[in-house]
This record gives sequence, C-alpha cells and structure tokens, in this order.
Amino acid sequence: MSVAATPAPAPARANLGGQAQTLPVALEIARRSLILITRLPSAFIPSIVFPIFLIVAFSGAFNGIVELPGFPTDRILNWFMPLSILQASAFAGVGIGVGTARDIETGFYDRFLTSPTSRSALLLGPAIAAFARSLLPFVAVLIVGVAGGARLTGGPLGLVALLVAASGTAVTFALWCMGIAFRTRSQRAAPIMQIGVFFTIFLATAQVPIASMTGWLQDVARVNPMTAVLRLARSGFLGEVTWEECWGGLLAITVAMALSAWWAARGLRKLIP
Amino acid sequence: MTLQTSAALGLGHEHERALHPAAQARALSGRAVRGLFRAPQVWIPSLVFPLFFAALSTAALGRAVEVPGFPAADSFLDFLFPATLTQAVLFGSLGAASELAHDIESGFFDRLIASPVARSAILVGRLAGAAVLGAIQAVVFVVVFSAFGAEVKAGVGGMLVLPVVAVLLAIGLGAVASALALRSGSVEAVQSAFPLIFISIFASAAFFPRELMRGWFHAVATYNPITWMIEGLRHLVLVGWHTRDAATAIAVPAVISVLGTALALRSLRKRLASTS
Repeated sequence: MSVAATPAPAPARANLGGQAQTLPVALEIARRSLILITRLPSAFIPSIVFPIFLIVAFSGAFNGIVELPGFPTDRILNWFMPLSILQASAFAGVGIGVGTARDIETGFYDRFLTSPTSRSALLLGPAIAAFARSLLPFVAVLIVGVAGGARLTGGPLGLVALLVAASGTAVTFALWCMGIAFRTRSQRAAPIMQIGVFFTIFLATAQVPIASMTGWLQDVARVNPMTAVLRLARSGFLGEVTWEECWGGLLAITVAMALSAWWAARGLRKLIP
Repeated sequence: MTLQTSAALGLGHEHERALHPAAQARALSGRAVRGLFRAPQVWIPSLVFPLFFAALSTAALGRAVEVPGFPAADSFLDFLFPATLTQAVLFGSLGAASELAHDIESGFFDRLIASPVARSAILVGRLAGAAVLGAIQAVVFVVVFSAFGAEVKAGVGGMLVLPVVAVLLAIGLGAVASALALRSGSVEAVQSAFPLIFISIFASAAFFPRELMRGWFHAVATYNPITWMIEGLRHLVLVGWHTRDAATAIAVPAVISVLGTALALRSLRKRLASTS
C-alpha cells in the first residue's frame, strides 16, 4: 500500500466532540506514523545512521579537546554522546514535520481535516509519534556510546535526565516543523526544518563548554535555551545529577514545547479552509 | 547537433555543422558554467555553509591551539583554512554532478547523445563547471579569510596553490559524483553520496590535528589521502613555502581527478551502451 493510501485512522466515536476521543485518535495517528517507518525506511534510516556517524566522527576527530583547561570530563564520549542523542531526537521531530508536509502534498491531510477528528489530536498524535521515533536512535546511540567507552556517572537518574531531554527535544522540533509544514504545505521546506535544528544545536554548547569558547559564540550559547537542555542531557555523564544542573533544561523544554505547540496550532488553523 | 540542443548551448545555426570536439566541449562547458550561476541553490550553500562552519568552529575551538601537541598556529581560523576549502569544493562538486543527473532526468542528455556531439565533451562540460566553481571558491575564501585575519605564510606561491588544488579536487570529486549520476541517472542518488564523501573528509585531519587523535581514528586519518592533501596545504598556510608540501597538496587531488575521470568515462560508456 502506498504511503498516501494508508487509511486514515477511524475517529473513535466520531462527532462526539468531547475530550474522550482525542487520545484514541491521537494514538491511531501516532501508530500510522510509526507504521511508515517500515513502509518508508529510506526516510527513517538516516535518523539512526547519522547520529552514530556523528558520535564516531566527533569523538574521534575532536578527542584532543578533553585537554582544554577546565573541560568537564576526560571521556570524550561522555561529552558527545548526549549531543548525538539530542540531535537524533531533533531529527526524529524533523521526520514528523516532513511526513506532515508529504501528507499535505498528497492530499491525505485533507481527509483528516474533513473528518470529525479532534484538532488537538492532529497535534498530539504526531507529538507522541515523535517521542516514540526518538527512542530508536536513543537506544542505538546509547549502545554505541557505552561500547565505545561512555560511562554514566550520575546513576539511573542520569539516564532519566537524558531521556527527558531527548523526548522533549523530539516533541518540540516535531511541533515546530509541523508548524512550518502547515504554512509551506511542501516537502521542499525540509531544508528549512533541518537548518533550524543545525543552528539551534550548534549555536549552543554542542562542541565545547561556554568557558572554552571565544568571542560571539559565547554570548549566543549563553542565551540559547538548547545550552540548558544539553546541560540536562549531560548531567548524568559529567558528575552527579543535581537540581541546579537540571532545572534550566526542564524549564527550557517546557517553554519551548508550549511555544511550538502554539506555533503548530496557529499553522493548523491557517490550513483549515 | 539538433536545433533545440544548439539553442540550449547558445549556438547559432551557422555553428550546427562541423563543430570541432574541442569547440563542442567549450560550448558545453559554457552551458555548465552559465547553468551554475543561474542556480544559486547550487553555489550559495557551497560558499555560505563552509564559511559559517569555519566561523562556528573558530569560536568554539579557538582555544584548542593552546592544547599541547597542537601545531603552532596563529589562530584556529588559519588552521581551518584548508579544511574549509575542501568542504566547499565537496558541496560544489556534488551540485555540479546533480546538474548532470538533472540533465539525464529531464531528457536533455538524450538530446545530446542523439546529436553528433563528441561523447567526452558531455563529461568535460560538466567537470568544467565544477572546476570554475572550485576556482571561484578558492579566491572568495582567500579574500574572506584574509579579511578576518588569516594569513597564508607561503605568500603568493601558497595562494596560487590553493586554487590549483581546489580546481583539481573539484574535477576529481565532480568526476566521482558524475560517475554516480551516469550510473543512476538520479539527482537523489547523487545527493545520497554526500555522507560518504563527508565521512572521508571527517575521517581525516581536516578539522583537528592528527597529533591529538587516538587509536583507530588516528590510523584511519593517517592513511586517508585527504589528510596528506590537507596537511600539505596547512603547512603552506601555517608555516611557509615548502616545495614538497605544495607537491603533495597538488598530487593527491590530481590522482583523484585522474581516477575519478576514468571512472566517469567508464560510466558514460556504460550508459551510452545501455541507451543505444
């Protein structure tokens, strides 16, 4: 069955209009999005392969930066593994955005809009799918990282912090990219979504801590919320997990998710004739 | 040459008969270069992204020059100059090869081979487009890097080596990507080669010195010919003129362009055989 011909999830108890139907429909939309992983693997495989390449290339090429004065770890993988996982999560979100644009282009999304589906389910479903899609690269990169020498210094709580940061990043970027898809209605907007990820992540503490930076990047990274999210993600790999290390990231994720949801909801409203 | 094809190449009716293969190659090269400038989506990213990455890496890794074992360099920007040029040529070459794949997808390639044009001129034209872009990139980067304080210690000689290397590398990488374009006939397939070539550059000493790498990555970078080319260029930028470094920097892309062109010609013959 073609991607476009994948049946739209039947709204459970259509037209009731109550909150009760939102979650089941959202789960069906998420399930459809996950089924597409097996139907269109070429669109999903890079989101696993590229972060693995990134962790290998960065930790191999930039191994020497652990010698920088004040660098917080002597294990380069402890620094770059959380970065790779967050990037993979962001690209899981981009995948959702591109998928939405594809559905709009093929006319499939019109079927959602003409069905008595809760509008919030159209946002919640892809957000759930983004979370689920981010779990695969999360596990894959974690296995490669730990096999390569990354060590969890903050115990199981560190893993929870990394998971929260990763899933929050995936959902935020999914909603953000859906907002772009709703406005552009074209898969050709994919580079805009990808560039957004690249700039947000690399204009933060992706490569080195703020103290090791020089010039303009130090100022940009300091105000970039992704710096706080990276701190949360790395908290279990650079020492003990403390509230001081985590609260900024949790706040950044909460605010970014809320803003992205608002951006996506406004875009969806514009899409409705 | 058919009328439509002649028009696409910017030739008048008087040129339709008895064009020498060199003139055909020149006409196709002109078309490729004009096409390149009419497609900003090809050349703008090849200039902007490497420059942004250089600015980002210099700000992020600027203090790395103080790490023991880092080659003596005035700044990380100086250190990064050869890598930025290599990265830019990679972007540009893939863009040029994508245009060849687009010619195949759009049917223009079939019109060319239906005309009495020399087969090699088709390839020469596309590689000329990549070479011109490579030369422009080298000149732009010398100007921009100099404006931000970078200095080529080897002087004018070193500055002349940079565009020579860029042109040879553009031909080499462009030929390899063109071979893929001719085999697949698909723009998407050419673009999918990007990670492979990107990996070959990343698994070298392009972005960080080999002296600070460890284990298997150090071994891979040591035997990667891109490292030999980059280190030759880097010595010209950071230290000064040394004939052996200049020769190494030129020899590596020269060999890549010879092998790449042979591969592309082979792919061209296969495509012609399959379409005849």
